Amino acid sequence: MWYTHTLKTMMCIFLMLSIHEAAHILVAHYFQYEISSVIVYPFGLCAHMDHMGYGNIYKELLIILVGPLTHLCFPFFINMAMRADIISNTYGQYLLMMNTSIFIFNILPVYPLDGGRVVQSLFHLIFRFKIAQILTLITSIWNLWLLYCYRFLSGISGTIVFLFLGMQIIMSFYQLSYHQLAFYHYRYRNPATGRVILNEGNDLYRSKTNIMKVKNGWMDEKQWLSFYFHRPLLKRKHHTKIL
Amino acid sequence: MDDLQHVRKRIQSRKRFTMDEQPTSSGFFRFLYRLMIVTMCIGVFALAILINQKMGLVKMPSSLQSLNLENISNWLPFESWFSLKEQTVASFPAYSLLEGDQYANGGNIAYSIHDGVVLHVQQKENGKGSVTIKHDNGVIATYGSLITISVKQDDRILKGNNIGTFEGSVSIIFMKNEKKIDLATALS
Repeated sequence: MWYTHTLKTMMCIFLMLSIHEAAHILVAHYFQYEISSVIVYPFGLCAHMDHMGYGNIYKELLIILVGPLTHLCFPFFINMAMRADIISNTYGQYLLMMNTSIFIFNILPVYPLDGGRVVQSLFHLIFRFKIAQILTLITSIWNLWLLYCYRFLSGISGTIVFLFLGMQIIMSFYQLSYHQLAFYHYRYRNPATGRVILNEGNDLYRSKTNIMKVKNGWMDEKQWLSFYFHRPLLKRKHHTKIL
Repeated sequence: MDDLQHVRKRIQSRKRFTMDEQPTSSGFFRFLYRLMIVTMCIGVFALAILINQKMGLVKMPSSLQSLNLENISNWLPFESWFSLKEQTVASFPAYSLLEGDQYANGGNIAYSIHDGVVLHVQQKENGKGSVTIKHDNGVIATYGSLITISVKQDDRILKGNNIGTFEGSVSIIFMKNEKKIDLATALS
């Protein structure tokens, strides 16, 4: 089968994607994030990190950006391989083109991709948690639609990726409340370290230490979260009384 | 009393048996099983379409034909995205037929006429070599009488990429479905 001759190209792409993901994992490991799983898709790898998107924004930005940064190092290695005659010049040029393409794909401002996560982090710097999440998803779906309309993702592979990313964004819309609750739980266990802010809304700022406004005055973030998590328990007590 | 104990033992052994069976019907296993079935179905479907395209058994609707399922560029992620391919492929001089299978392009660099994969590279004793490329449109082209070769086996080649150098003229043999074809047909 002549299709087996594409194995070399497939392996080269897979190697580039693996190094990209390994860079993410290494920095995440350094910041003591736990990696629960690594999923292999036909167009890339995805490492699932526990509590990603809830912790310190600047640390997470570093974890996100280190992946695309690896693609700026690959041209150096490809040129070395070309000089050492490990790969031919023509193939080296092809790999450089592919490297650029993978780099651009990863910095696209579409949510599950690295670029989308950077957009998410920037929104978290300005807005409250849930609003930032909603804005990220709306921006992502708009950008994805533009990318498809201008035929940046062409071919069968492009269509599969478009559908996959679209599905991911739609599923993220359904998981908004879950992520908010998981974020509150994370903050309850890991107190905030950011600048103190007086928050008059009923949702936390991820990048700041919130002082929440309640009926009788102001409440510390930890107290507010404790109150938030114990509300269902109070209801349960009331429920038992009726029984 | 013995009978009662015998029955109890049988119940116990049955319980153990069902306990052992439980992990196999876990959610993960069911997911894996369904995923495999779906993957196999897609594989069989894709294979059937490719066989049909090769044999010409059933005429496919024009919308499906326009997908060019044989074209690797369509399947390979990243390659044809963001129009980077068009940027790398600079316009290259066209080949003109001299005589027989000998072609010239006004220079001494042999360019690939289409995207493809290098099937075979051969270096002959007289210093000249040949490169066989399977192009995405199904054409197998053998570029002969090359002095230097700048590709290796299994390399992915884009349209207009440098294959090697020649002196005077380059011999190119175009084959499709085991039949020899001319340059105009190969380019279409």
